[in-house]
Amino acid sequence: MRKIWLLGLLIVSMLSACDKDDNEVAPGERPDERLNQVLSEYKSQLVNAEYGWKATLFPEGGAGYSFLFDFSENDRVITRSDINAGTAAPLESTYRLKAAQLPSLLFDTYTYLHILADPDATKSGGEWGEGRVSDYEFSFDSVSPDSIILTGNYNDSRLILVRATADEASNYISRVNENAQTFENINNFTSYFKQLEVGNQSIDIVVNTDLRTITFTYDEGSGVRTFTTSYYFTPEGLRLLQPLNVGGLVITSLNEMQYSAFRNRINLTVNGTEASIQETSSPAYVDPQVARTFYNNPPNGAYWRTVNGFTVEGVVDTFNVGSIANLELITLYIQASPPYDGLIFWTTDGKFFGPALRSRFTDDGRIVFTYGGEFGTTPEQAAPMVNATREQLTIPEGYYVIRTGPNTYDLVSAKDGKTWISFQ
Amino acid sequence: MNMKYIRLFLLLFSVSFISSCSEDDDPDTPLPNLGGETWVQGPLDTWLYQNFVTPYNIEVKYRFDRYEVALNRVLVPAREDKVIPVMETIKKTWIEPYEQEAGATFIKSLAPKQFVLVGSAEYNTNGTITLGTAEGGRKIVLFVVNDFDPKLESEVKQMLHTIHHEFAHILHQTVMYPEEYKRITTGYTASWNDFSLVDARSRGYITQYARSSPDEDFVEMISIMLIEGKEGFDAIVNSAPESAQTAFRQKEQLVVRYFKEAWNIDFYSLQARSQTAIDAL
Repeated sequence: MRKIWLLGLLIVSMLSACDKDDNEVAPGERPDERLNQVLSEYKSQLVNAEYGWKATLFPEGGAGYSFLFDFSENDRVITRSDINAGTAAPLESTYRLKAAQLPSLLFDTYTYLHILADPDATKSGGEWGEGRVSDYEFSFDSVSPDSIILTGNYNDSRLILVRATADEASNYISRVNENAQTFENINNFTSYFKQLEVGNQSIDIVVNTDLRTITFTYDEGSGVRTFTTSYYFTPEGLRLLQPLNVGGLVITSLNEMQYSAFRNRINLTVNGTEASIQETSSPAYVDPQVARTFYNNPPNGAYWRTVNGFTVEGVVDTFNVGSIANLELITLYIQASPPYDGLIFWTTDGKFFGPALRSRFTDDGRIVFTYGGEFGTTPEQAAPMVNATREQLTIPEGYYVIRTGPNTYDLVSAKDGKTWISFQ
Repeated sequence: MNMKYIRLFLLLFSVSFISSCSEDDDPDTPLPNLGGETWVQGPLDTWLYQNFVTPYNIEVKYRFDRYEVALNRVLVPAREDKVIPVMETIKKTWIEPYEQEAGATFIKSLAPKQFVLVGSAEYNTNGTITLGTAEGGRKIVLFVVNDFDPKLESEVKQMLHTIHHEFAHILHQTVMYPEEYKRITTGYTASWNDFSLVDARSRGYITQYARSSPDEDFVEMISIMLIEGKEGFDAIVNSAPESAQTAFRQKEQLVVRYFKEAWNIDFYSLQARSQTAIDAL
């Protein structure tokens, strides 16, 4: 009896050996397993594209930029881009796939992509401490075999990857760059005013090639309208982020661009129709109110400020105001009573000088300045620069006033459209 | 209890021992983001391992990690090709002079354990920029490494300034400096940044920031004396008004005494080595 009892004890003690799996609280695949699996799937998709990925980045701060990425198994990536002339050459850096709230693709050492996010304004061309409001850490939004859409973790920029072909691997960025260079010849135009001629329509355009924005000014019969959008380049041409709707025409891209240096003209096609961009001496459309708006609304209630003085035929600060000794500030002082405005130069030692002006407005929207004496005494050293600026400013034809931003205006010579001054 | 029972119990015990499960302590799935970052090691990782981890137990984090730095600042990662120039310069001009002067154990036990490299500066809302930060003597974040050029003396000095500054904090937090240092000049103020460098120096403070507190004053003195060398430091002192010169010389003596008494380091010899290293770049 005792033996049976003891044998029973033995059997029980053997049965009691633990089985680990029974302790699992929630049977099935764990979240970590699933996450790691997703990360490795994403990685192998990135790595296994034989010819890499062509990509377009749309920084939250505007514009769009093209890239070609070649991801390797060893967590390294080769990048080419059209950001500037120096970014077409391949540059190698590192990347990582990591779960940060969502499965993410991190470009964790510097490559061209980071130029746009660089808080150093001299590198990004954006604001100090801000850059172009872009990203280099992205989470996966949607993935199909041949395309991946990502969103920036920090600023919500968008990065779209599309599997490249053998052909694109070799020439995608060079073709994009070619279009960028062709279009950026617009900076060689010596006139301020540029017009897009398409069909029988003329549309004034103002282009900022650094920030890749374009402003269209047109009139469909119901008054002058302006429309600003960012753009980016594709192998086909220039693509607008938001399409322009004008006169029954929807313009999404400018294609087949060709630059003629001889005529200062870019020939192109819009929706298959021939079109062109060329310089003109005066704008097609002028808002007759804008000159008064400018005059009545200096940003601080008192004056507008210019940094570089006059640009003549594309040469910034033609009259060399930057060389005035101790120059601190150049202001267009608005002073209705007594009725003298002034283009006043201020120096760091507390002196000020410059021409007194009387300002009037014409019916077609120009502002005309006439000379009315001097404020202060212009030092001998500054006299040539101040006098040249005064003579230019008081031309009888006056100036077209072009609004270039919420608080920035350009005054463009109505004489020939080749001389202008920016105020902020 | 008779023998039979004991034998049976032993048997039972051993059987139950055999049948008990063998527990595998490793979790079957590595948890994402726990247990350290992993990536395929490249030549740069090997270089850092050989030159910083093995000899000094210092980790150099050059791949961007959002959570090592301020979350509300716009920053960019370091360029890979800048990592070795930056770290080599640090090794030659900071670690090696100390190592030669105070021995290997000194630097191994006191050096901060982590360097985090960031490509850009940190832009602050008050219009200033941050070039380096240190957290509790353990971690140093170095900014603007993408602009680093070992051939530019100003760049090298600016970076070394940060490192010497932070390392000196570790030193005085380990062994306190002489109490009388705090009484040499007494115009410490939280609004130090409202005054010019000339103003600070005319009051006996080697930099503007030195005026913020005795601790900062002490480490700024050490940092400037090491990056400018004896000659450079003397030139700064001699250009100051006479009252300030006296204060500078008193502070200098206390720094020298502190290094001797606390760490058995000949400060002037360290200063000379440091200068030679900077000049040799």
